[in-house]
Amino acid sequence: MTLLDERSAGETPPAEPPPHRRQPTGILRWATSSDHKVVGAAYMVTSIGFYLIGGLMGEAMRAQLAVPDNKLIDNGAYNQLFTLHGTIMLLFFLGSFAFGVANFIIPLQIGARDMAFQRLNQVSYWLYLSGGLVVLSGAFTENGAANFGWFAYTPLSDGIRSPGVGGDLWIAGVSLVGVSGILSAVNFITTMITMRAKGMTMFRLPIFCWNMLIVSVLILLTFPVLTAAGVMLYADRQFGGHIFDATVINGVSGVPVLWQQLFWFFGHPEVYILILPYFGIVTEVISAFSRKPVFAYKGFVFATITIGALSVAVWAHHMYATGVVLLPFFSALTMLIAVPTGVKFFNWCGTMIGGRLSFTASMHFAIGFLLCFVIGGVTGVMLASPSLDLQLTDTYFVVAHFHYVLFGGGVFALFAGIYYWYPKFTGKKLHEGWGKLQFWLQFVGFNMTFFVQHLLGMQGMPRRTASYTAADGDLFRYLNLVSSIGALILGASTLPFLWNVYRTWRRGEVVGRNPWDAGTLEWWAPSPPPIGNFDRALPPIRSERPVWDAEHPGHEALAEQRHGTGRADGVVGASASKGGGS
Amino acid sequence: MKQWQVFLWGAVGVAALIWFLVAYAIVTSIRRRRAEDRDDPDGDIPPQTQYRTKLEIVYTTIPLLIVVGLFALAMYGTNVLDNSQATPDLTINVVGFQWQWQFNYEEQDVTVGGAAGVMPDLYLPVGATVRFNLRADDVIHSLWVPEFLEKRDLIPGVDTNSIIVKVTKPGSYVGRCAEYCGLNHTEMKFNLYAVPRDQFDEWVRNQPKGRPFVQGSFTTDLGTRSTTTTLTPTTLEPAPVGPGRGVATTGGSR
Amino acid sequence: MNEQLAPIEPATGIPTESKVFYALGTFAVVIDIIYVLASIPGGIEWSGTVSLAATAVFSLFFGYFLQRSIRRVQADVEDVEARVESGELAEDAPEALYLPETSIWPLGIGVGAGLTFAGLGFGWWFALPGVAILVHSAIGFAHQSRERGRD
Repeated sequence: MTLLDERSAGETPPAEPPPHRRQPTGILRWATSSDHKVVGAAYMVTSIGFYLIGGLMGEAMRAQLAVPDNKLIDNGAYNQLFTLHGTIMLLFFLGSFAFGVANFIIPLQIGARDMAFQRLNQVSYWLYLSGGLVVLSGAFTENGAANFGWFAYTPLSDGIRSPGVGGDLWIAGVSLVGVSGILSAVNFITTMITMRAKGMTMFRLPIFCWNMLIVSVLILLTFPVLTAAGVMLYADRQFGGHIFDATVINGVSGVPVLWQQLFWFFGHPEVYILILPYFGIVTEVISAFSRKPVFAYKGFVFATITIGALSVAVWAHHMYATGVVLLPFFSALTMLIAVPTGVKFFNWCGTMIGGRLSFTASMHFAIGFLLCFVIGGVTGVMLASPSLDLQLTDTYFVVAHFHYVLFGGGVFALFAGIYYWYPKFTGKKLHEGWGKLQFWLQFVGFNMTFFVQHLLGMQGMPRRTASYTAADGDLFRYLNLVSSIGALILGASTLPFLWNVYRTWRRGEVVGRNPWDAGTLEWWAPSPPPIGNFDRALPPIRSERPVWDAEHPGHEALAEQRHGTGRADGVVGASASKGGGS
Repeated sequence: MKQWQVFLWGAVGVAALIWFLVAYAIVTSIRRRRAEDRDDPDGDIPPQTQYRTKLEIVYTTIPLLIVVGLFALAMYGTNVLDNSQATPDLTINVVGFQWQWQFNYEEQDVTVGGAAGVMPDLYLPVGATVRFNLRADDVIHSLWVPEFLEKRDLIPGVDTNSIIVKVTKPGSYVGRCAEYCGLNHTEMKFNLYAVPRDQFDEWVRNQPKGRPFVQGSFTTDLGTRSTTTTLTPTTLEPAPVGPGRGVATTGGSR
Repeated sequence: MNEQLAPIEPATGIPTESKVFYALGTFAVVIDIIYVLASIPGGIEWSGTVSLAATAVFSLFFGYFLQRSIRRVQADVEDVEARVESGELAEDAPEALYLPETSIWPLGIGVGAGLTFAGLGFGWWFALPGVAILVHSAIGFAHQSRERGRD
């Protein structure tokens, strides 16, 4: 096939780009380039920066809780710490990193030359960065940063109970990142539905794209609610509004619980906004390193859509203890989410079983994801039961639960993604040995830190407590100490990663287009891809793994034809292969 | 088996299943790799199986059934909670405020509170069914004694929240605020002593009657808190929080 | 290179893109009805009811919008790409896909919006330069588009 012959020719360095495509270098490139890859990289680097900041805050909190009656950090500072830790990790790190990966990878995976709105993409990035800086700037004001927790329950977060600039800056920064998220979501959706290469039908989109599509839809549905609630809260704080407090004026009063309803209508889908991209990343990684197609691809897509739909109808499961929500309704829908999530687990396992696994650093993290995330999943079902939740909510059990979801799920998958796509990002491979060292430190440290927190919660330790006393007993003392030591190991796991990045930058192994022998379209482009992405005609797109099909003729997915993939089956020659849709 | 045990062991079982499947995939892959034909250039490409429709139906249906079962169980447990509207022997009005508790024994006209650095002492008679009416005026709090196996928020403007517990065993416990409520949230605790009925009656006799139960106006006379009672906190060894959990020491209502 | 593996049939029926949104919207309608019915005994909870209704309206509207327009848009994009490939259209022609150019205006919008929003906390005097930068950058952004004859 001519396509394959061309492969070797494509390895030559690309010709000098035409003048209008020349890019500045260094910081000017970061500041001005609208190339989706530059914006994506900027997103990723920035959010890793926020991860380090938020992680140090977490370490500080664990240091304070390492021993009883500790006076290391006072109550006020501790309250700011957990507020900022939550806000940064949830709004400025995990989701934003996924946006970075999506910016970089989605156009490549769908065979497009760039995002649909490239400069809007830059705007998203800068709004995100300035939002994060605005929130952080609160720490340098007189009363410190926001200290009402990342979900800012009213009336605690109103102007009387939490005066000070920090709270206003929190609202401002969160609104900025909300706007940024909406712009990105519009961009992702438009890109994925209009810019797909010829032959790339919806049911040939890689799973990562599908998940980002659903994530983008959830962002459009829920971020406006957050922004609206933020405006109302700001009105309460600054203009004497009484929307969220119970002050009775002329016989009527505001409703504190209304904030919780609105916040969690955003907040719960937000959890899926954070985790679904990482489901996508892990799926790509597992498929590539098992050398098999994603098992039950269509089932996986339907499971993602189901999770997306259910996630908008479960918000009040954070509010069982308020006593003012419909327990059976929210309990039923919350438990139902376990079904599509379980289906995904079986899909991942089904992809691995019967495959030829290569245990790269990336695959280590993906397996770590499976092992840790399942624990977060099953404790989620426990918490969905009102009678258990009323005991466990607002305790360290919940802290353990969502760290298993967002760290055990999100961050493990994040590093799987970094090690997987790093050759595509930079043209160099991260060192496998350092990566595996990082994995084992992270796996041990993470489980040590957070598994014992389940027990702490069951023993009666509420979350968001700045200290505990010796009178709380030996279990509190020892479990907290174990957790803090684990946190130290977990923190240490970041060092091999940073070293690995530095080391690779200096003398990393240079690799070609497709070092992992993976199947999706981004591996057809050079590493790193030039402006415009593809320097040769795309392969025929007949499945969700066009590169695999082209490079391993005779080894196409077995059930592909039998299962059918929609009407526009087939094709695709070179002539009309870039851009375009179907 | 109690409900929480069903959920806990169900969770352990599901996690174990996934761990097993992952381990199975890893082990079989390593074994196959040892055996595979190195000469065949495509020898390390496994069969590209993608769909097994029947299997998919099975692994979708079974979790669905499990979830329906768990939901039924959860609703049963919740109804037990909600239907325990037995006439209480003792009604205690609770007000939480930043960062203290006040308890008003309605029938006895006794009010107890704390002071800066002093946790309030709450006495309950063993064998009684106690209803706590939960209110807050400033921000949201949450009343939690771990041994109650239940917590409820105290929400400004919501006067309907309450919990009912049956006190089954004497002992000393710690109650906390579980909903983050500001600067000294951590210090918002109280002592709970479950004592035999006669000791409780004696304690009530020794308490001043008719103290105001209004947030704020109470703080001035906290210094006069009675120390004449024979049941001062020092006579009771504080029990570590924990060992009694699950056996409903001061009986959760389930 | 031009060998065709199978003819491309024009796609017909409701596009998959629309179906996703229809599914979400339908689900939201159903769940909203259940939510209202279930909450009638305790009093309707308006924030959730309205949020779910908004979810339904948005999803169904967007699904319908896609059903009406998506094939045309996709065909247009495809056509432009084909003309660029065949050399009929220069890559930087106004009609061609807008390929990355450098632009400083997004940075300006970010800085401007950041200062403006920080003004919500620090005071209006802080927001003034922010608004100025924001407006200037927005104008520059729009102007840059116009010069290229697009957007």
